[in-house]
Amino acid sequence: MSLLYDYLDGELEGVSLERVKAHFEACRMCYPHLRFEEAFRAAIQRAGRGEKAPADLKAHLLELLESTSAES
Amino acid sequence: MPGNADVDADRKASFQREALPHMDAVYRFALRLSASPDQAQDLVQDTFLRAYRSWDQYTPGTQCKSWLFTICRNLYLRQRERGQRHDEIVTANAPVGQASEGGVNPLWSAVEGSDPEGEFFGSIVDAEVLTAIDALPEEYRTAVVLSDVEGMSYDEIAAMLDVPVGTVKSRLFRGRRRLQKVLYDYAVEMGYLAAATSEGGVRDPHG
Repeated sequence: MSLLYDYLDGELEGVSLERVKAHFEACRMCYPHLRFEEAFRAAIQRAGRGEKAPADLKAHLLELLESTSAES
Repeated sequence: MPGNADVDADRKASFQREALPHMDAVYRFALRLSASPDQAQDLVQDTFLRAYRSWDQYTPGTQCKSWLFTICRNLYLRQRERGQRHDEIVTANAPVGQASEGGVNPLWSAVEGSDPEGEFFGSIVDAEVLTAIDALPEEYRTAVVLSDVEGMSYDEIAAMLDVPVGTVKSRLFRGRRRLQKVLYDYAVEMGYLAAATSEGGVRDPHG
């Protein structure tokens, strides 16, 4: 289980990455489990990245920065 | 003093080039921290003003987004300390029941027969997913957002939160399990998914 998250989170490399990847893709138990966690991740990421800073906040901040001098 | 205008112009230019493109990311991070659009806007403003004032302390070439997030989170924690008690932290440390950090995800076992690849997650509207994220205790929420939304590594998150990597992994594990359970319950309630019976899974009658 911990390996599965290490793999999904991009924390494995080299030989261990190759071995774990090969196992997850071949194992009847692991493969759907992997897909399940990926579907969860995709939903979280899509929702979490959907919001943008309001345009007036950006404009306001740019104005503030123009009038602020650093490390006074 | 001579030369100051040039230095200021350089600073401004590098800040605009490296820091400002992260405004959307800082805003959504602030939203997850505060769960309030008004407070998030204030946090973003304070974060960038502070970052600009201490731009000399930023090491060029390092993760600017992490640096901005750290400032944002520190501002948020300070505000929260002034405003309220640490009830969220207490919640985060409370036992979460059966979630031992090994073995098969019990939730996956529940959907194994009906939706083993978790397609129901994709049916849940973004607003509902965000509500579920925002309901997590702060420690779990921050870890999940930094990893699953922002794609930061365990090391980056550990450095940012000033905790060991093992703690990051544990918070991610617990946070994800809680979130999955909430989303699963919602999907069952909405009829996206048949509730599992004690027999194992239930087949989706429409599929």
